[in-house]
Amino acid sequence: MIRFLRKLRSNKGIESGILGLLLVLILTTTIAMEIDFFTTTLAKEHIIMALESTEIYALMASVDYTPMVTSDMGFNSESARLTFENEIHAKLRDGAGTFFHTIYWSDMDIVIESNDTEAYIWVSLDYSPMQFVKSANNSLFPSKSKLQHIGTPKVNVKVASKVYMYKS
Amino acid sequence: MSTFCKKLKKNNKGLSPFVWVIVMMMILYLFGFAMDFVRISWMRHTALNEMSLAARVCGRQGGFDDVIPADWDKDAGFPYYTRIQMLNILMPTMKAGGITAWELTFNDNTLYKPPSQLTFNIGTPVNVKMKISYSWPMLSQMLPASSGLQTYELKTKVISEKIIRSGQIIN
Repeated sequence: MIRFLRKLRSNKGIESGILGLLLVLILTTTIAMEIDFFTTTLAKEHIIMALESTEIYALMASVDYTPMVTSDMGFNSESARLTFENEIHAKLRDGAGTFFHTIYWSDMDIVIESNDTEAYIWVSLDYSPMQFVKSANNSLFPSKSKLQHIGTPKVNVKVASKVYMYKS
Repeated sequence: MSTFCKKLKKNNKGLSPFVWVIVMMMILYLFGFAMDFVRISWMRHTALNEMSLAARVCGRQGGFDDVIPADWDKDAGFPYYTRIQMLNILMPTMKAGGITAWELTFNDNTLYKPPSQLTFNIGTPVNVKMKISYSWPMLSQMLPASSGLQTYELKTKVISEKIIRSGQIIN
């Protein structure tokens, strides 16, 4: 056994192989982390922008335009909710080719309140961004006890957006 | 032939340079992909930002005219952006974002068209589309298959709300 270890120690091929492997691992992980950092940031901005523009659309599409007088907007909350749900599903996708690994549609909260002169829509949505370097708890690498989570997305991000519409 | 192959198999002393070349090539491809990916994502983000801005302005003022409409409520404190002004706002930002070829349409009418086709009555849904062309400049240097322009289309919807803002009564 000792003889074998001595031989192994003097074998330069193994040494350079391990160094090369480490170098390749460091380089690929660095590149993956760079992409992850970028996509995570963009994913958040993208989802907030999509929520806001869809909220504005849902609010504006649910006003009774014919005839309309300035004292009452004729706002229909149920129509706004349906419009929002349809449009946000059409606008945001998850899976391959997107910034999002999973969008948790079933956890989406929508609150709409209105009166004659103003209305608002508040939405919160959870998602997990697309990531190459998987993380169990937002740290750079998962701890030893969490290695079993590698391969499953655990970084859930909650976003919320509220848009008011009011008669000036 | 069989003996030659056996000899070749046993002789692995000159293998490491080949392995290194292959590994370095893979790293270079990966690096090129990462750089291009970040660049394209940034272009997409810039386009999305600018489209959202143009869409919101379009909805708020009911499209784009070449002159400020006579019935525009100036006292409300909201500026009116004409078609040319909007183009002048978008163009420098798109250029700074690395987007050289792009097209912005409102209900399939491009921003470059005459203003009569870019004004929308109150309550009209407006489909806003932004098409951008992009390429993989670094990756295409190494992999010829990835050369050439590709297009990306971004979409959003707005409702024309001009009259609501100006506080008029419609019958």
